[in-house]
Amino acid sequence: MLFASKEFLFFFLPLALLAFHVARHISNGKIAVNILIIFSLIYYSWWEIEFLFLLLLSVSLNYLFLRLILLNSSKLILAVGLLFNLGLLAYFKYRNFLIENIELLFIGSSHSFEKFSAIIIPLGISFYTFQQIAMLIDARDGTIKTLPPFLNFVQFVTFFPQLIAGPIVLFKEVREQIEALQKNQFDGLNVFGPGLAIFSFGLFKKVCLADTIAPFADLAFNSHQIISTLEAWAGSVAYSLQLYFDFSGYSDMAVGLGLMFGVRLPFNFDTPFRARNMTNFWKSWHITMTRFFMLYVYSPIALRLGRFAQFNLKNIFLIFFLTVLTPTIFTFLLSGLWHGAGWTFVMFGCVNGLALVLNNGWRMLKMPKLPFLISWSLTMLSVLISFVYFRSESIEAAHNFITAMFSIEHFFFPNWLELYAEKIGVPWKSLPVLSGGSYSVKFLIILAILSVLSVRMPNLSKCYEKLKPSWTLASAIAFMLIMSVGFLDRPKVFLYFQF
Amino acid sequence: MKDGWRKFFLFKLPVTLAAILILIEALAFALEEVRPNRHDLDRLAIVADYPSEAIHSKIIVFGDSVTQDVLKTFKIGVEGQVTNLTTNKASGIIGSYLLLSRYLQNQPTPKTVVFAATPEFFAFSPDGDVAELYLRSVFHHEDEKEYIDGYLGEQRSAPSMSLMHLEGRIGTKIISVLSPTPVKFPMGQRVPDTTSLAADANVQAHVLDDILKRAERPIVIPEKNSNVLSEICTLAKKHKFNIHIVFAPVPISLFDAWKKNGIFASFLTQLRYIFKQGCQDVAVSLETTLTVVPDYMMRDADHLIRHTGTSFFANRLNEFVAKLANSY
Repeated sequence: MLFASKEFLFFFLPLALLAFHVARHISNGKIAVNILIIFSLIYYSWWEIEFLFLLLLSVSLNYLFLRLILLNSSKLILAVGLLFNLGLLAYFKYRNFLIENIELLFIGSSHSFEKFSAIIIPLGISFYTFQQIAMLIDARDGTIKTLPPFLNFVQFVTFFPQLIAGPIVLFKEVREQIEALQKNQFDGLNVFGPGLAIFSFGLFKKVCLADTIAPFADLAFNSHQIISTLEAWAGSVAYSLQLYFDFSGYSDMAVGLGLMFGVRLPFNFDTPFRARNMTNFWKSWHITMTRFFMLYVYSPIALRLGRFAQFNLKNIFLIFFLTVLTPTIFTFLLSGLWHGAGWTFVMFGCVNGLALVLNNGWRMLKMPKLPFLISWSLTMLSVLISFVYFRSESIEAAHNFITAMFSIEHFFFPNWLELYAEKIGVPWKSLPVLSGGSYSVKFLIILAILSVLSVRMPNLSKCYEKLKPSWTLASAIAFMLIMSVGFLDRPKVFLYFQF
Repeated sequence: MKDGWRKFFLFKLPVTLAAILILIEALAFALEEVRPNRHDLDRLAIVADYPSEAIHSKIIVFGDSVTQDVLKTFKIGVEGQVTNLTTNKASGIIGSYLLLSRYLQNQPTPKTVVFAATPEFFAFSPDGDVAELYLRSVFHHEDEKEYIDGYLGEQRSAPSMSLMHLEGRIGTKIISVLSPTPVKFPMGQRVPDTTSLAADANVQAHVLDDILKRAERPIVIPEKNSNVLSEICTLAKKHKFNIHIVFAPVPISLFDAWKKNGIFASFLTQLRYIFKQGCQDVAVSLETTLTVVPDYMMRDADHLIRHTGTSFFANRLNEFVAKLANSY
């Protein structure tokens, strides 16, 4: 049951809102929070009920670890807790990948993959595992000082708006909010109103923008033929926009839903395509994930290596290698793997890591600041290349795609421009992604509109306090809701191209 | 502020929601008569709906995308001799029948109607979203709607709020209004090349895989398509034209497989039976041999590579048309 589905919009959400707010009014906040937990568990079990037990096992054991850590601040318990969480993730998400690669390394071929491939990855396991890992580390570091009641902890992990795709929330961010909700302290329509606005905005981004460009991007990446330069560029930009509007739309919906239930979740995107360097890009793309990796992976490594370098090294390049390159690449390789168990994701992390290292190296060497257009173009180029790896089915497919982007040999005009192509002496052929004139014009118009929107759209999740109950906001919400509902059921693939 | 939000939820939001919904309905109503202009079949249906003095072709060609590829690029026959009504497989033989009916109501009667397509074209029957996109939303005359309902075996769903059909009732209609109205049937102007060999003689592995998969799929003409073919014969009898069926070139691997598994032979038997039953007193000429091309002439399992493969087919069609014209 995705947020952008009829069963969620017309059945689950109204029912959950009604039950929660009625309980708040006629009973008390505690009952309302408990009702919310029940709805979150129903929401999670909608896909596969057996994974609900895994979620509950993970929550229960992590609560036990938390309790023990808070009792004696034991490093050992933290280690056991981390091992349990990472083990869970490794078993369910990375087992096939690990076995396949170990076999490939030692035997030369993999046979176990098919045997294990039937195992489905439990929904949201990366998100709820990371939230709990962060909580255990925070408890050991003393950021979390007291043990919350069990149900508050369950509410934190299972809160359905953020359960399956983030944002990755830290316990300290929501602890007081959950306690306030239990005391029935809810800012009523002052947060519900902006919540609805942000939710509508996110729904619109997902249904009307991301799903509109998705079939074009799919065509480019699913094409069996070697595509041309124009198609590769159009396809990679289309996919980047699809990914942005899809994920940021989903994150906005989560923030909006959170507010409708009285919980302020952190925002996850901040117009990343405006970034003029890779550091800024990662500060505005999947912000809560970047924060997790910075806080719990990068910083501890960089700190330790930095201390070592400070006392033991003099060579500037060695210091750079140890304090910047090593922690950055390691962090981004892990972040790539977090996105998925595959080499394409590792490469996604690698490209981003290298781009960040270059970015930091440039700054450390005190090189001149590049003009905006150049620095922005270089940043977007790195992002586009990393997204090609992210979207491609294999490393080979990604390399073919990137080759098509940069190779003059693959430059062809589409056949419907053959007259112009022959006039100016450019080769032409039938291009699967830009196959028809009117279709290609439509594609390019959508691409242009979405490109502008991706840098010009306001970030409501960031500044919802400023939203006023005006006629403009009412019209905007009404328009976005109506458009989203209207486009909810449209086919996600181009029927035109099946024949 | 809380009062402001209360007023927002009780008054402003419902009013704007209602206003936009009314606006959508009004817009959909205003655009109701606009014919969509999304794909080639839309454009053919629009042109066929209005009498044109410029059209006096003796030969009409129907077919799927393999033939369409050729006729949209190359000039077939001499000027004005051939009308191109090729569509693609999606609208099926029923799409061709409805288009032919429209054409015959408004344009001079041809002497010959040619179906030049892959064998699968005759067996394909559109349904679901495909039928919506290529039949229901294209053919809007009452008799056409009735015929489509009968073919699909289901009534079209009762009219619902335009909100649920934003793309079909408003989006595509606005694009149609902004697009130039099609006024003539498309025909390519390029002269086909005479060479028949492609520069690259290697068939791509995925193309060969797809060809072999195509070879395994049986071709069974459903009863409803048999009925459509009989209806075409009824039109032929009424308007006194004859029918020719020719097949698009097939790759050698497909030809060999069909020969081995008897799929094409079985298909021909079905077609012969249908014409025998439903086309008495109508001159139907059925091509019984397939033209074979090397596998590397295919850009996918069905389509010929441009322009070597398509030129080859274009030359064949030109020869065929010339032969027909000589026989009048």
